[in-house]
Amino acid sequence: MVMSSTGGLAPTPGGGSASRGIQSPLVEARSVTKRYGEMLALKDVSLKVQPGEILGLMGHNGAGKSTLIKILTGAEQPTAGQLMAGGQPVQFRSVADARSLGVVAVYQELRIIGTVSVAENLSYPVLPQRFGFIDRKQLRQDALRTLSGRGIDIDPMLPASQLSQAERQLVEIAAVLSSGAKVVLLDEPTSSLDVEQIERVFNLMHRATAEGVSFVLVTHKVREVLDCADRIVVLRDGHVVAQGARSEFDHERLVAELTGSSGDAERSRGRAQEVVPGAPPPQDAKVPTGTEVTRQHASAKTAPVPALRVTGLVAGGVSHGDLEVDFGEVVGLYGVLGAGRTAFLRALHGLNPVHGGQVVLDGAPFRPKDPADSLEHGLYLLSESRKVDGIIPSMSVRNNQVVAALRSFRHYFGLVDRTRVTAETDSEVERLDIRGDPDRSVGSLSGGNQQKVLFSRLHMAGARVLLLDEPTRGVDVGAKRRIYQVIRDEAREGKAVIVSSSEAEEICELCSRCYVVRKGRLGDVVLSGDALTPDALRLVAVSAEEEVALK
Amino acid sequence: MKPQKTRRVPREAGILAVWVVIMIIFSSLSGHFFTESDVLNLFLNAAVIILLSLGEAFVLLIAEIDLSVGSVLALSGVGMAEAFNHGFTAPGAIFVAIALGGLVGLFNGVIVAYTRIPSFIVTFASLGVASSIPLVITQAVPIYISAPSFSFIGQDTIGPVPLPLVFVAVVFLVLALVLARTVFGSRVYAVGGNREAARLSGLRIRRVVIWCFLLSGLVAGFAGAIEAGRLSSGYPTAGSTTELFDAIAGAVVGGVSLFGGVGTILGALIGAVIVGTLQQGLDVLNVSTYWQPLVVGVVILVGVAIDSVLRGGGLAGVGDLFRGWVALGKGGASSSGRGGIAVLAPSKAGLDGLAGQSGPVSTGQQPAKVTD
Repeated sequence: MVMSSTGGLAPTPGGGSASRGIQSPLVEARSVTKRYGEMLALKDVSLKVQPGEILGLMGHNGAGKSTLIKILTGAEQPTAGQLMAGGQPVQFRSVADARSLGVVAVYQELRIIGTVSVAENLSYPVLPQRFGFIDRKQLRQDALRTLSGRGIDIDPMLPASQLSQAERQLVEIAAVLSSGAKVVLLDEPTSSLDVEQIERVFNLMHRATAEGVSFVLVTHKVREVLDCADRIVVLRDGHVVAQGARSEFDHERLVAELTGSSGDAERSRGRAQEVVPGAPPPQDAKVPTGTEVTRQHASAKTAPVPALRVTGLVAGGVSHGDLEVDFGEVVGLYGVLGAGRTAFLRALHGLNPVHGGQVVLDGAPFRPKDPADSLEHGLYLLSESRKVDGIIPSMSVRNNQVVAALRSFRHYFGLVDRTRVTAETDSEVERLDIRGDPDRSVGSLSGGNQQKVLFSRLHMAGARVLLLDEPTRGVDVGAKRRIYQVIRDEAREGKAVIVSSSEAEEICELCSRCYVVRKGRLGDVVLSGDALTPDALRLVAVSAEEEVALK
Repeated sequence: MKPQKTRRVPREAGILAVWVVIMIIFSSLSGHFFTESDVLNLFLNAAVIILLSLGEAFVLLIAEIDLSVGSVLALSGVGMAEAFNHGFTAPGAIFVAIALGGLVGLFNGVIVAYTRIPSFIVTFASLGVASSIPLVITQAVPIYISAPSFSFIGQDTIGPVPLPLVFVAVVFLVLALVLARTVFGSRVYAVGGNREAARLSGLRIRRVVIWCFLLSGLVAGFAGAIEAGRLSSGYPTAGSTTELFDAIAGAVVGGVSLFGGVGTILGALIGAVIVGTLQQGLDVLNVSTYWQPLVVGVVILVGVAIDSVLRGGGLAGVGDLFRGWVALGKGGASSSGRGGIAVLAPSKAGLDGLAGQSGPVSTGQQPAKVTD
């Protein structure tokens, strides 16, 4: 991957607000504190953004990243502390204030309007006019200049709805840049992009840094920050716990800073998993209750009859799908976005119509009909989009946990047995280490904890074949580890698990075998054992991608 | 009824406070408003709207709407009178009224569940059908029935308490229990809160939708029976004025979200009582009937606005609007509000200032769209 171009600036290493670089930073926060009622979101945070640098801002969900972005871009005002821009003290009373000084945030929810063209999106809010009408020619030329000047190859007259997620991201960043932004704060820009697309976004950023534009890359993906950033700042519980030049950090140190777990055991464990991908998961000392018994059970269950066997499945987005998974096994699906992973899982779950092929579930032929029917047959899908069709934000954590298992809590007259609900959800909260009040709305939890709630829902539903689509998307490192452990526990209990992911490392850490999905085909390439490495996966998946690009 | 135990203050407390304030205002304006018989009378007159609100709440909770409840009053009332005239006993006739309401609800539910037609359209159509049939049957002439056995449901009392209020209490308790404590009730909240998530969790969405409309219809049919009893007649134009909107307003004032997933039966009850109280109070104060809808409308709007502010950030949109105006007034960077891409119309001064202070900061390729 291409490394940084810092524009010849020596980034000031570490240190508090007193140390000053040669140039004054574009934006700087000095001892900023933010308090929401009784909650202290940021405590004495100092941070500066130098011209032409990419600053990686890392932290768990709830570490204060979002608050810091909001303060730096004027969406929120600090309770104490001072903001500086170009060496002068400033006060951002609104987002517009910060924008007028060139400090802009690009959030995960992009603001592209799908119904109008790319060019119009780029030009808003001021469209070029002639005699009171929109000057289409000018509009197109402006847009072309903006896009091609940044190496973005997109037809500006295309309706924005036809853009891929990555292209939307590129257009949005280009728009912000062409409006004169000097400091662009990107909030989890890559959370829904795959490797190829992430590279496009990074390339755009590197190009812009050469012009003196700075980026603050807010993410919890350790690898991305290490690949892309010039300097790194780590937030934990509202404090800056580490900052310094990229060269001062490695993967291990970053993870340790993020989680605050500096224990050697934890560290070496993380390393072992990295070095020997696909190795059997280390047995954790702390096995949740109830799994002890089922472990032998799991090995006994690895019987000749597979849990799920799919042959020649044809559905929307899937031209040919072969797959087999045993009880007690975790297999992977890897492929670029749009390769057909999600389409395959949705078809199996009865969400998309199946046009052909055979599915044998636990030895009996199975015809996917609808999710309710699939669940009755023991098949459960964890969807890739937690917010869209995962959590039910208006309901409490508990109710979100039990919603798929309500039937089993019915007692007289259809009443819900609330004592049992409380008891069982409590034990789930403990098992998954869900942080937050279980009686409050699930929307009040961080992304990682919401995902744990969904895992708890899945567990309580009692399914035996689990389809997990991007099980750790948008989840911080700590929650990710816990979720990996939970997935392994499910397998140990004898469940058959299919993990679909665009992160090769994730697949290698969790799975014994992996199906590479390419252009709607699944089953042509299966990697296992020593052959299953992140590089091999990427190579196989990407070679297919290149074939597509050539067409 | 305390639906939430661990949460801070139940939302219903706020709505109840609004009602108390309204009661105090009315009794201070009119000396004889707050007497015992008047309070009972108030509830009695509001009984039909309360019932409609309670049923409507189920439909609103799954993010649908039922426009047919008002017209069901006429259909079930006339149906009950016709049945009575054709030799049904009084309980039998009441049963007919409820069944007619249920029929309309079932129809609504099945069509909404199995087609992609929005409930607004489906129930608007059944509103038309259900309000026409009684007019056609009776030629718009009320069917008057003097038999006391017919009107007992609307006019009898148990001690000082009118029978309709006893029925309201029973229906309230049953529905509140169903929504708060049963598996079905949990499913209603799930479907209303996030229908796709509920579907993926294996819930049978169609069943829930049909049941909600069915419940709304059944309760409306029962309300029609009470109305017929109170009027001693099957009234073909019953429910044709503001009843429908009073019912929806009642539920919404009571905190039932039109977007689904949020609200309680207790809330809907208090909300409907508020709407009823307003109408009664204005009558007592001899406010012209021409003015009454205006007052009711304003009070509902203000009440709901206060409620959403108290619940935090409900009126944030108003703040944004205001800030937008201010920004426009300054002639500077108008953040393009919602929807528009967050492009800053660069205020030149700001940029130059920044560049001047921080040394050689390239302004990059500035496209020609800066218009000033």
